[in-house]
Amino acid sequence: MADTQWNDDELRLIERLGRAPQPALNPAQVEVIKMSMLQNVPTAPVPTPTPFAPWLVALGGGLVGVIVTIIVVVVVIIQPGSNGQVPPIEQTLTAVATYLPSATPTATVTGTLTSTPLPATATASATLDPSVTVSPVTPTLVVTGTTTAPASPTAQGTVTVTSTPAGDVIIIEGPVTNININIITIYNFTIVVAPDDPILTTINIGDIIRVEGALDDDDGQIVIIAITIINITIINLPPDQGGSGNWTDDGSCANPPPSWAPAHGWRRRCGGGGNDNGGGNDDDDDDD
Amino acid sequence: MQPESALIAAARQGDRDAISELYEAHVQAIFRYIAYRVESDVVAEDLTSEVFLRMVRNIATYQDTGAPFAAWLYRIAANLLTDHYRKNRHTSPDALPEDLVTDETDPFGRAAQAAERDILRGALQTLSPDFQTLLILRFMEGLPIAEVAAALAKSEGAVRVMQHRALKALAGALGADGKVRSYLRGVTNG
Repeated sequence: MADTQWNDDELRLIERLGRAPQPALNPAQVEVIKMSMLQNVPTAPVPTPTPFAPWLVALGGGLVGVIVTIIVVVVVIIQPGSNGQVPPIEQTLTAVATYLPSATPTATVTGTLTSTPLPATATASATLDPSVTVSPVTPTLVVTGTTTAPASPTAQGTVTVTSTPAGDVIIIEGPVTNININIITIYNFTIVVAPDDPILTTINIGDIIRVEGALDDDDGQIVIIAITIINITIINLPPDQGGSGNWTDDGSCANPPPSWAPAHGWRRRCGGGGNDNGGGNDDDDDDD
Repeated sequence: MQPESALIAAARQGDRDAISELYEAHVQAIFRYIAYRVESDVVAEDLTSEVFLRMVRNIATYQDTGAPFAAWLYRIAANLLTDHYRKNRHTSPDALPEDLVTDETDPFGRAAQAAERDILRGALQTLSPDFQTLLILRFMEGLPIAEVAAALAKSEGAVRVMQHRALKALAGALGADGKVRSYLRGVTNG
């Protein structure tokens, strides 16, 4: 009150008010009022319910921000296409699966087949086993999916590459693209043939052969040591009516050439009037 | 003893001990404030009880604005007094107190105090509720301007101006019926 200017009358009145009788409740009255008050104290406030169940909140909290990266090694059996161009290849897919926790846990697995001889890519989808407790541990993944392995390069013949898990025996069928003494190339596969193998005298570039051999890793290059070689080109030649693979003009018009064989003047001589005495002058033989 | 803010926080959670401490800290001041504004101490006791009932019912919604907790209680009391006046318009402000609750054992002293208090109460009750509150809290309870302002929900400047007018009004009320001279002289002091 020192900051206020009072006149004498005000000061006297203020002094008297300060000394005015001070009524008070006696202790018994204080206690009675207190008991009455405490009887009306409400019970502990009910906690505000959260919009989600506590277990769900806890689970959600555990899931948020948790990204589990899983290294998945999947054995994939590549099935051949309907055209039979790509035979079964057993290879190993090493893939990385990124798992994003959610109400329906799923994971996508992508990866690349690393095995040889054919490059292949594979994709697979993975579904997380819902019974697995979501936590920063490696969960169990059940991986299903399909893989594709495009055949490359395009085969003119049939390429068959079959390898056992041990890789002991390999069979290749395909066109010969190069011959260097006793080394044959089919689809960039180097095939070593025994130098004294008689097949070397009969096969030509472009022939389709079947090779059964053994894989050999020669300084990083896959080399096939041929065990058996069959020239499929010859086998596939159309049989002639005489049962021989060659036709010889014996001078008789009764021995016509097969359709696949050059006529060497037989049609000029024996065609047209059908004279078979050799004096015909037909000149319609287009095989000359 | 915990700070009042801690008591309030605990009381808001339903802590009965904290509520009891708040009650004991403020019950006599609330009773004195009410007693000078009603016709009897019995009524003052009832209204005091009602003030603290409202405290426990509403403390969960109490928001600490920095004003003293007592200011909130005084506002509750002022609202109750307004209701009380509205319901009891025919009650004479000069009605004699039914009892006096003091430690005074001297019957002559009690009578003198009763007479003085009766004079003052009668004069106060002719004033506006805000003037009554200001005079009781500022000059009888000795509260600082800021707390009185909080109880009245007015600015401190307004209270500074009001206190002059309130004293002048009280002097007029005491002098209107010739009581001011004897009051200022001091009944109990002769």
